[in-house]
Amino acid sequence: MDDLLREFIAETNEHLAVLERDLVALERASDDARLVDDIFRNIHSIKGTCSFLGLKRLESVLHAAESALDKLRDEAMPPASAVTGALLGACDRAKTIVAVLARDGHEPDGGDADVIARLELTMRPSAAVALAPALAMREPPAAEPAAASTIRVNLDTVERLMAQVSELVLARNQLVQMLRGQPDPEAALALQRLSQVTSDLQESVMKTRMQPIGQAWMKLPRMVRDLAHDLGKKIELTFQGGETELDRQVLELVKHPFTHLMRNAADHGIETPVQRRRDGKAETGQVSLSARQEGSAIVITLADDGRGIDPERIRAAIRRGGFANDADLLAMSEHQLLQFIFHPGFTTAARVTNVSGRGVGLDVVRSNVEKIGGTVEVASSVGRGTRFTIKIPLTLAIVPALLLDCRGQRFAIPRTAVAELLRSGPEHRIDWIHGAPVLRLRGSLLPLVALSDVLHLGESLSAGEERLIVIIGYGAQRFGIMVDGVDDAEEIVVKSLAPILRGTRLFAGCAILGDGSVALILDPGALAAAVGTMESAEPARAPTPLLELGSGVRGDGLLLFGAGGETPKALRLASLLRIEEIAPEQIEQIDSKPIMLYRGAALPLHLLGAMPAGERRLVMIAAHEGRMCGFLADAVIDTVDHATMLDPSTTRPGVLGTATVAGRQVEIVDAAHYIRAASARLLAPARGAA
Amino acid sequence: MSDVVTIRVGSEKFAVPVMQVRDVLRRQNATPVPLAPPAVAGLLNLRGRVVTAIDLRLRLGLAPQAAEGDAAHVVVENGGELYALAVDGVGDVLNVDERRLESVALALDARWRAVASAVYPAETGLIVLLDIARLLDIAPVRRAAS
Repeated sequence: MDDLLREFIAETNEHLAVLERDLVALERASDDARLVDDIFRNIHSIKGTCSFLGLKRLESVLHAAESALDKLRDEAMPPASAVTGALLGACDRAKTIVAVLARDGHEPDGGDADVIARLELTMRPSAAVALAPALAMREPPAAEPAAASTIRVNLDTVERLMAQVSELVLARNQLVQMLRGQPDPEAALALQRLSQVTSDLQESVMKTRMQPIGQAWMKLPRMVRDLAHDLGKKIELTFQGGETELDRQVLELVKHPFTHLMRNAADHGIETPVQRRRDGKAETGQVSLSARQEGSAIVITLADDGRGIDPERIRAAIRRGGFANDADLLAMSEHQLLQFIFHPGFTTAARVTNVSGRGVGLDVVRSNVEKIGGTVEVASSVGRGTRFTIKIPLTLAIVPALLLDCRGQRFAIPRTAVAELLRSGPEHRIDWIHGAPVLRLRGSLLPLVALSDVLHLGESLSAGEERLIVIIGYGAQRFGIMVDGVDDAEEIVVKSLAPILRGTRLFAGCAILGDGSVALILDPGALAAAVGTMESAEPARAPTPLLELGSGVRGDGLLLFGAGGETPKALRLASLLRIEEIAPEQIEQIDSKPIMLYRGAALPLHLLGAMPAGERRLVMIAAHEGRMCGFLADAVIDTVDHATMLDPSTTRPGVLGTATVAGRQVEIVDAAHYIRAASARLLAPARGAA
Repeated sequence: MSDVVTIRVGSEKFAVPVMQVRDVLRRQNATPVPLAPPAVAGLLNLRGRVVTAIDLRLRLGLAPQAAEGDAAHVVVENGGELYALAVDGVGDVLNVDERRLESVALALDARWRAVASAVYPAETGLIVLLDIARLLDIAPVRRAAS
């Protein structure tokens, strides 16, 4: 039996016990409206969970009881003994069903027409009294549920226990540090034992705080049902992985985001049945919610098969809201456009409905998720649906962290955010593009930032210096931060900062380290923002820009790349708009010329040599006089700051000339030539179709 | 009648309500917080709790000066959080006769008026009673450069 069901049974037994007591009280004090309300609420809350767990018998019995009570509430009909009698009958039947449920894991066979009929009869005032005794219970009330294997503990107790264990972990860490290198084997042994017990205790206490994520979903079926009803839509909700457990504290924090995303899916995502039929889809829209564990994180996806998010509407809304200027809009990928739905105040809804569209919400969803070290990503396809992927840590209490050194001060960063550590050198060179450092790593360029710059801790990095680089993976975004040193890894207990320090946003909190000192915890999300490219992407679904140059870049730098053939090619950085990574199947053919879909238009592609091999292709997107084209490449080789002298004898159509760059011959591509040539065969307006 | 703890910052005497004082410690090094308001000296570990240290000299607009032998941290509570006020010396607990309190408008430097609740004429001279909540109402920090 899964935990969700076990939890439900424990809770329902309690509810039923209270219900029984209240019903008996009601029989004596029949005009107590508050008691009626209590009973109603009690029945309602059990019923809500029933539909979630698919307990049909229980649900129908409780539904009938609810209706009878409703009548009682609305018409202030005095509860004749027959009403409470019928209700008690329903209560007994519910107990019987729950008892079988606890034993077998499923509801017993059979029907409850008798109980329901009796309840319905009470709703006809004249018949109520007369008929009541005629229907006897066929099933005897169940015996008391067997002694439970669970107890309910006050949350405060669990929280206190957790805090104490956290302190114990700290004390243990401190002791380990003090006794490091201690030659006494007895002390070492005792410490090892203490260490083991502490870790076990920590794990056990952590377990007591774990709850199935399905608990946060229980209210959703009812909400979606009501929404579908209000909006005149047909929506089917499916769940998967509801038994996935996560920390209670985390669970509380993500309840609101679920509700919000679900509401969005029902209101904005799923179309009306008429619309769906017109689009050749099933009338009933599908919304699915699933959860699974991935290492120390929980990945939750909410997907609908609705209309998707139209990039054009987003573009229009960005313009309307003044979130970006036209030049920036031009340089944005579809994926970047999508990210705007998380901006505060952003809405594409032309009208505000009762349900959503007020432009509040998704930004709150994102900030709620990021606050606990999680990420939210969105992918959408017009006419096919939208998928939100939320990744959150299993627990917040104790976090494995890496200690970084910057200008003599130590900072902690969650271990989960660190993708790799490396030292810059000939193998991993730091390049400079327009004064900003980038790291060339396995054929892609990663933005770099010096931690000392972000934290305003003094002198910046100068070119050519060898640096330690921590590669951070935040969502799908990767970037490097340069630090002075990397110390130990340590498990830290996250403590919050005083309100006057929260404005910096760079710190997720602080922690007391093993040596008793306090270290600030860097917030990977805030670092990502400091790097300046809030770009996240799902490969294969949306183009991934590897390098964002923005529009209006000036300069005479060159980007060297391999594009099949022996001679490396180079593009002037001034003409390069961006670099995208695409899958081979994204390359299509028109008139046997390769193109790719880019921002809703066809982008002509050029092969400068043989078709690059491999699973991923790079496309260098260049712009000239408002038109664009792409060059297929297999790897970024290098960037150089200044173009060297061109050899004029090597100039030919499409090639500005050959130059010697970094000791080798490269061909500098004349992007303007290709763009002019492409315009003749296929127009790819740089401005989107809008 | 209420009790206050007298503190010395530079050559000036101040006092904080005894009810809000949680601890008094010898001055210790705090972990600096980058981009924090200047008056925030850093973070301290007080028996497993993290305490935000406030440089009272800077907060009160006095010239900065290195800590001396008597330098201490007076730990106060505000809004559920602990703050350590870095002071140059801690004096006696004084029983204040509220009828003798004087308005801050009377004798005070303008920049202290905002953080003081009253002025108390003690035998040894004027003592400025600090309002902890207002003392800790520090201008928002700089945003990280993006």
